Amino acid sequence: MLTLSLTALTVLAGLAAAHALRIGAAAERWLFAGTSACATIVLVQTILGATGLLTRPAVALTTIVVAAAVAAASVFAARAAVGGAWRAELATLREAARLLRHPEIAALAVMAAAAFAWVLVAAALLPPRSVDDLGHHLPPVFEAAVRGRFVLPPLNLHPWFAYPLNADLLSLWPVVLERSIALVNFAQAGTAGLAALSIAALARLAQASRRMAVFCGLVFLLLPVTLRQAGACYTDVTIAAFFGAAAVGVAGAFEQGRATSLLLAGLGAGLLAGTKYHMLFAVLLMLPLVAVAARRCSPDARRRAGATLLFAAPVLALASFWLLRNLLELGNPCYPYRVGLGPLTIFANRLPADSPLLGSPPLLLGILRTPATVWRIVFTDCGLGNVDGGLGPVFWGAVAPLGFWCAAAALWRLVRRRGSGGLALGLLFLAGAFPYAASQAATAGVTTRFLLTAAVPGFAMLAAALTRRLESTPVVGRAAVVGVALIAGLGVVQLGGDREPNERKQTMNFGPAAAARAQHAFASPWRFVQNAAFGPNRLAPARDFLDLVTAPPGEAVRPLWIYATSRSAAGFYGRRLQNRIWNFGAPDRPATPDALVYYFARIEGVEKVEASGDKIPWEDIAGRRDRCELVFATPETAVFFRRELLAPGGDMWRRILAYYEKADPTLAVVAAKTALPFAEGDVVLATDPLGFGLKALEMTSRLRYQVLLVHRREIDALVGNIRTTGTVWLVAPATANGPTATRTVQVGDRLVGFFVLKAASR
Amino acid sequence: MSGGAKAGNAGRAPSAATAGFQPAYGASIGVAVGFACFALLVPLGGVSYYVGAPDEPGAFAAAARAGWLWFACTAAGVLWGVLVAWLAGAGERTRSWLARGGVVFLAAYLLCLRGAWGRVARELALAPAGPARAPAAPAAAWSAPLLAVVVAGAALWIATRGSRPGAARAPALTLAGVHLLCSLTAAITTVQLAYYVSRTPAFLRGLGRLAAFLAGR
Repeated sequence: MLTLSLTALTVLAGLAAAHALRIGAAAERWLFAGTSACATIVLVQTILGATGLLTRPAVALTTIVVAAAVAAASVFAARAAVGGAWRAELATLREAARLLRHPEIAALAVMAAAAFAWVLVAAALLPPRSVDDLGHHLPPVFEAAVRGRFVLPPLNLHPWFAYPLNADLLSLWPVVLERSIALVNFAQAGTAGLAALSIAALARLAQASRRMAVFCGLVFLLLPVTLRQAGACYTDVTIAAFFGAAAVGVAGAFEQGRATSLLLAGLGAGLLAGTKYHMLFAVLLMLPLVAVAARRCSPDARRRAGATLLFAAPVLALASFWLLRNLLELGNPCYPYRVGLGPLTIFANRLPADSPLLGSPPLLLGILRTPATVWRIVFTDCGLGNVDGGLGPVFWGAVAPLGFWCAAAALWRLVRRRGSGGLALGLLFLAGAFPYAASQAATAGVTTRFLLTAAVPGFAMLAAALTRRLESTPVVGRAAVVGVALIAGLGVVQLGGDREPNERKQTMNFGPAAAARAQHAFASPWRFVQNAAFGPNRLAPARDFLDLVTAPPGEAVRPLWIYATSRSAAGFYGRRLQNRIWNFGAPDRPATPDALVYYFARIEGVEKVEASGDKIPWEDIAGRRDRCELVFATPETAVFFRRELLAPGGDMWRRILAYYEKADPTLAVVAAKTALPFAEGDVVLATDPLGFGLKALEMTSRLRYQVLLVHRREIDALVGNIRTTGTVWLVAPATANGPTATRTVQVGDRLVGFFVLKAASR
Repeated sequence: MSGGAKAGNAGRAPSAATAGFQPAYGASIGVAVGFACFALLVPLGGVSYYVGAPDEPGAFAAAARAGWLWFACTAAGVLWGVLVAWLAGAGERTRSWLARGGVVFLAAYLLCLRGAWGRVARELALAPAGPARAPAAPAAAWSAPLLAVVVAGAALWIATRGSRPGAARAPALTLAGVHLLCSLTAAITTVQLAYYVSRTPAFLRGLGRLAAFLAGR
């Protein structure tokens, strides 16, 4: 609630400023409001995070003060304009409602509403689940929220931790304010709306009709990549919004000589430059337009300097912190990338020697060397159904060619001194496309999302082109609009399904999570993460366990320091940030971790542990029970807790018992039905999942023998270390490839098979 | 040109772009015919990009082949169209027919619907025990796209008839440009449509769950 209230406050303050600046076009006004809200959020958190004051009261108070100051200044500067704002916004609403009478807009609006309802429900019910979210976007965010200041997590774990964080600060915002990760997935759903607004505003500047401007904004919202990323903690949709704001500002100043547009351009460009190194290229390419725009704003040198300052000041304020931090702390503002000009190196490369990015030329060079690369990118729609979501046939077939054509035509007109019509939009399209062209050829398939920036001016061009066709040749125009609408609608269906072998990053299947919530099931959101590669799905059961024992529903939080392996380990903090990753080397961490989570990653067909940071080898823990006890295991994961935490009857003992009994009640029933003839003094080694049921029975003193949970990979080592006068048995579920079942038990509609082995006898 | 078109342009000297650079109208029709050839020739069952998974071996090469095929079909179509338009002469009636044809042939891009049967074609190509074990290619894979083209073409034919000059006469070079963009968009749709179709049942199930969730059930 606090997040929503403060966000609304910053947007309203921005809206008041937009009215004070007399921004007439509704789309541009709301774009200004949204962009200034983002800038406020980013700036407040940057200042507080840099000074170590990033706490909920400080963030809330500072935001209120800043928003109030902006609103007060707006009222003071233009009381009449701001006072009559509500009438203007009411008229905007009426106009927007009237647009729904057009069938193509009504159809796309319904589809966009349904799709974003889906995205938001999935974002609310499922945890962060994309590998890059957990791998490198969220660890600096969560760490900042926990420590109250920005810190650089270990760069040997992930060099991307040093990336600028402006867009990620929008994810940090609800985490700091709510002290929970519940709203962390929502940022890009909001900025997708901003990107659509920027398309509408740009289209209007390009003389598109209101109808086509809104139509193309809706098409952008339905792009597969937009929908796939809108509920994730990536930054590409947000980057498109920031780029769009900058583009609208630059184009407004360039075409209409409005100095106030340069403020919007500066806010957008500053947010953009502080988000991704690649986007520095885009901002640099905008500078000539800004210079010309400043000249057009006023012939007076002082006013021109003022207009330039309107652009430069926000850029410096919003982007400089991250680059300066990296320069001072790491010796390279664009860590880990090389900065140089041709053979001249200014800042050396710090990528690992085995990085696939090294030695890969820029994509543009790759295309020049092998033109067929274009067909590969266009006809596979890289990312569709795969990593990030594709850009769709309309983008590749119409928007991209139209963008390049319009840019070339505008440049040609300029060269022949026939005016600068369409030049701003054409150059902005090239600026938006350049980051992708400059990215490494090796990443061609996974970085097409960088083209979302080009999509913003591209769709504005499409809107203008469709407007011209509808006016001059209505039949052709209508046919094109119907075709675009039909194809755009296809993007929605990729939200469905969770069986694609390559669906890696953003599973949208929220059904099981919704059902669990309706039934008040004892489950964390991690239990429902499916079909994501690089671990999130295979790690999901362990994360579910850890979250439920450290923050069970309705109970107090019990923080744990966790040693964790795997590429995406760094991003797991639990729902209420209660779990700290021990191998990050935090200053207040204890000498030994409370819990150790081993994940056997499948790397090139071999399962092995990917350890990072301060390492605790698997061999030091597995097969021994002197320091740690295995409390949870799946074939891919093993979770050990320090023995001191597991005193019978203690808090953690009680929480773990609750997990065993509640997480899958049928297991205890199965265990009880097994009626195994073990004697007093025997030790039963039990693997997952039957072991949880047996362990629960043992913890409640319903067994005469001892049960030890064991991971399959440590059975041999453990058997040799057990000291008992009785017999050591092994109980494990039968598997298709392993030993066949020696017993079966019917539980409901499930037939559970398991086998029993005499592991050792004394 | 229709009578209306003549009336609409009365008193103005026609420019190449507005009144019809005739070979460009031919190029428009040629692009559409080229696309039709592409849609019928592209081996949907022989490529793997239908799942949208370019990691799959051979997917990139297949996509590149599809791209070159589209390029070749389009180039041949443009050459053919320009040649025919040029040979047809510069009479007003011929120009009128070509201009109208340029609009009506927009319907040809509905042949991209053929891509919806790409998965079936793929299964046929990959059937372990030969076509006998594979699902039969439905007749709809051909008839439905053709029917859609005919219906849309008829609608465009009717729409371009009568007294609305703008409706019938698109600027020639612009119309050629529109055809090129439509052709590339439709070609990509042809090879990707099976992916979208394959997701539809799961999407509809998910939509049902969404409705149930929002309704509190």
